[in-house]
Amino acid sequence: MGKDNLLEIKDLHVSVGEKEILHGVNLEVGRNETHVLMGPNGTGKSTLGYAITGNPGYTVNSGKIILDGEDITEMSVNERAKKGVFLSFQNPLEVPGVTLSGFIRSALEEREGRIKLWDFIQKLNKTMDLLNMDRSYAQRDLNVGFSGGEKKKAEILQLLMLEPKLAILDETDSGLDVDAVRTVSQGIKLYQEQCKGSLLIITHSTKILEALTVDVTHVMEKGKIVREGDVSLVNEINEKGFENFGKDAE
Amino acid sequence: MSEEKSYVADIDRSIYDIKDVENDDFRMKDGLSHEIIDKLSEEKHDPEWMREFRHKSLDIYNQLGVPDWVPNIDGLDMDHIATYVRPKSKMENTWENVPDDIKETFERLGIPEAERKSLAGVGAQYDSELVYHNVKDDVSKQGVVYTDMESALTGEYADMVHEYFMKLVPPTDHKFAALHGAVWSGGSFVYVPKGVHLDIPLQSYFRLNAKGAGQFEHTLIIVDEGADLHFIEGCSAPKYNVANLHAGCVELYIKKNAKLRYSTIENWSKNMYNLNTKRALCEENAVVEWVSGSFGSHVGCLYPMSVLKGDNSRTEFTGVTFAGATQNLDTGAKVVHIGENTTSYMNTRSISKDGGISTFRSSVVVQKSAKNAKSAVSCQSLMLDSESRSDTIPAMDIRTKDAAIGHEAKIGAISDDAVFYLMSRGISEEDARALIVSGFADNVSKELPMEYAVEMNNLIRLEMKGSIG
Amino acid sequence: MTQERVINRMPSVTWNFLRANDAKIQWDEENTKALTAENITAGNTAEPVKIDINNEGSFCRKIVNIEAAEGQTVTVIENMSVAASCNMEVKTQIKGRKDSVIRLIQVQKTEEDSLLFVDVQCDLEESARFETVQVFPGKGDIYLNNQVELTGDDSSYRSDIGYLGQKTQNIDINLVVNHWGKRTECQIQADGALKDSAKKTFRGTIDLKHGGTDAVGDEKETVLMLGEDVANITIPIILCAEECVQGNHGATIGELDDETLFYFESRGISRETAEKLMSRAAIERLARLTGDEETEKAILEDLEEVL
Repeated sequence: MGKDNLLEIKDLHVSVGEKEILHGVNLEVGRNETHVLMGPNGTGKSTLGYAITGNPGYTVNSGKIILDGEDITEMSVNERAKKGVFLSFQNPLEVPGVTLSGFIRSALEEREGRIKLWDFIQKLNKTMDLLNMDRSYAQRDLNVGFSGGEKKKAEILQLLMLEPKLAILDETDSGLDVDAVRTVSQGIKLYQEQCKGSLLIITHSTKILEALTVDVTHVMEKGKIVREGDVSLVNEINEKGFENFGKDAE
Repeated sequence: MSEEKSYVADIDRSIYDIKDVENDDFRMKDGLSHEIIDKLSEEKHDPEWMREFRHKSLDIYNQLGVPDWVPNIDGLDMDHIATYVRPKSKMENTWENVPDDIKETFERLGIPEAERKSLAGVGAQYDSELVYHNVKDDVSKQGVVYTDMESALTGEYADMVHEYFMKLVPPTDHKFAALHGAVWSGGSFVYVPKGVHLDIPLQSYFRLNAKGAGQFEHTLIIVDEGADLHFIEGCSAPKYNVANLHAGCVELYIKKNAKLRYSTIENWSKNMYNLNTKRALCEENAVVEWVSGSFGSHVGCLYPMSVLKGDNSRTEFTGVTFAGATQNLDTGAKVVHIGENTTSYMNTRSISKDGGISTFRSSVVVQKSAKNAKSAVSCQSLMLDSESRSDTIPAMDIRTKDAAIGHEAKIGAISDDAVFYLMSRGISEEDARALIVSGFADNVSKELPMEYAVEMNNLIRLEMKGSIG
Repeated sequence: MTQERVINRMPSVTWNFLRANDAKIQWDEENTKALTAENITAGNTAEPVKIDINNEGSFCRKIVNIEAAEGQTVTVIENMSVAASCNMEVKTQIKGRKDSVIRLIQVQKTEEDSLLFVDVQCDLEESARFETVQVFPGKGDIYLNNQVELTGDDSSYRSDIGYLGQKTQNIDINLVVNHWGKRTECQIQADGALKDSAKKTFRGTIDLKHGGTDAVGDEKETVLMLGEDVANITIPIILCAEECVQGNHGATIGELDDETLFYFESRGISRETAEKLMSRAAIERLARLTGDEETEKAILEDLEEVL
């Protein structure tokens, strides 16, 4: 192993229903590193995100997921979250009757016990300001009536408030306008710097990566990691597209 | 053509021209008497227990009232029920007396001559009888019993019939179940032994066309452990009967790991009161699938019920109802979840046109014992004009927290955009609307064997003809 | 002497074996005390009209009449409270003239073994709008009957109902919306949670009458089942005698759904905490919807008390 990795995925096979989607994925993410996961649609990028998070709809047939030296493959979703796994959802769920602030507070209290309300509100307000989010959103029902951009910002707000060790961002930039991408990107940068966390960013575009330092790029095709490299790989894919890129690899 | 004569022979004027015979001997105040039951029982050579059963059912019939929620059945002349069931009465008719619209429909559907007469209750013996016997021989090689109820009552499986007959639908269930218990005659008995998978569907079509059958017929099917059967009832051509009450009963027993698909295309003539009762009991891991198309009848009340008693048992109900002019069709399904991990799924479509009334009525009951029960009900209704009615009356009664129950209903009209789109491709408005309605009903046609699906779509097209004023 | 009284009967009934076509309560009509009736006429005030309705004696009835003249807007907040072992009926009759907007907020605080029958009758003229926010965090049995006549063209109705049933509480709801006018709209949302051995019945009838062209009716219900002995009965009816209309209904009944649970758990929140949050959700949503700070606070305090 050599390197002190935060996340290690070893020969992971994952099925949804009867169908195997991931056919032996190997991946390592070091501490405070930023990794990008790219690949054509339907190759299993989101599946990997769900498998790491522990979604019960995704069955791990074989292989291991190790976080911080601990095998979390069999762990429940909320236990993993408490250990520091965070997934930013592509389509965050609307939950009427539970406020955004109440939701984040509950999550923090599950982990740390009773928290000081004053400190919480201070931090929440400050973070919302950084994300150009109107403070009134804190008292609105979670994601209900939020625009696409607001939903993604609410996800990043949760990221910055919960300060996980590993953040998996699933298409966090999709469907956002230029300004929103910039804001979200700044939020991620803040997470990199302040929380010293590791990032696995699933994305199609490079815009969100502009402000960030990317350490490793992984390319996934048909349920396997087919290539790894540094940030230059991102540019290569953007120039050639996945089709030609795949040919090069062969 | 020697058979031709028999179609017109033997007309019993006392049945058909009942209003001319004021002093009919058999006309009773309450329509039915124990005396008539005795005669019927004697005629049918009933075993003693069945004779007693009929009498008890008659008592129950006389006690029960008509439920208050069903469509109006005042047009049903209950006083004449005695006439329908009178022993030795001839349920025949003459071809001349068959209404023109029905003859026309036979013509349009391209039904062969001999079959037309049979469907109209004019003829009795024809080719299908032969087909029936062939099928019977074929399946008996696999140990499957397929016979008429009367023979089953006294034959090798007499004990089995006694054990199961009207246990699932007791005469106390409702007034017409009681009536059925008292006067039933005809119908099919099917027994599929353990582990036998029948690869061809059994079709009651051949049996129903037998002389005088199809009024109070009883269908009893037992699919033993691990066996698999597809049973098809009825046909898409309008079936004409002089008597206008149909109170049949279908009882399906599906044992452990067994599966039964029960498909029905019903197109009774539009003078019919169709008050049929159908019920299935599923043991552990058993599956019952209902596929149901209701097109005919003046008034229809039909709600096949699945009792999911065994753990992991499952039911699916797929139905379409088309209510045209003069029709009031109240259809749907009932499910009772008793076992753990039981699943029910209903998907229905109803169409109302030319003043027709269609009502979707359902009930999903999840008992406390039914942990992890899942149920999804989806019903869609299409209104083709503003003279018609379409009502949706579903009910859910859930008694366990460990359940996932979903329901969705939608009522609306044909989208003008869809009609416009099809017309822009050169299709006439009438055809465009017919195509859209056929597509709307494809939940059922997709589940039917090819030839039935084709007939069903023909039927829809016929119903849609002349829908543009 | 009390006698059986049949209330909340559906306009279109179904199987009797379900025992849900109506509700039966014990009522002593002879000894029912009539509380002073209120008559509210809408002026163009932004301030809501608040009425406190407290029971007097074992059986009592309060009548509230609300009328909004053409183009007027009014918000009425009814705070109802019933003491233990008492029975109260509150009948609110509403007339909405052309272009008026009426908001009726009903909040109750009831003790155990009490009975509250809330009856709302409303008739709307052209382009009038009626909104109800009905929040039931109480401990006693609740019967609710909303009958809304969308008589005028373009009139509309919005109903929000939230409840939390617990112990042996019985919550019985009957909603009837008749779409007589053209382009009339109704939207019904009834959400709640059931704990312990609470029982809830929801009957919702959207009747799209002949001649009410381009009417739209929509009802949605979510029931979170949390107790071992809970019972939920849902009968969502759409009656339709007009071609150019839309009627929709959706119901979700059961445990916390997998998707919601996964979202909560992915943030480290356990199922237990998620259920706690969600059991309050329906009432919290409506508390915010009242738009009145004092009422919102009162509802949340009531909620703390019962939880």
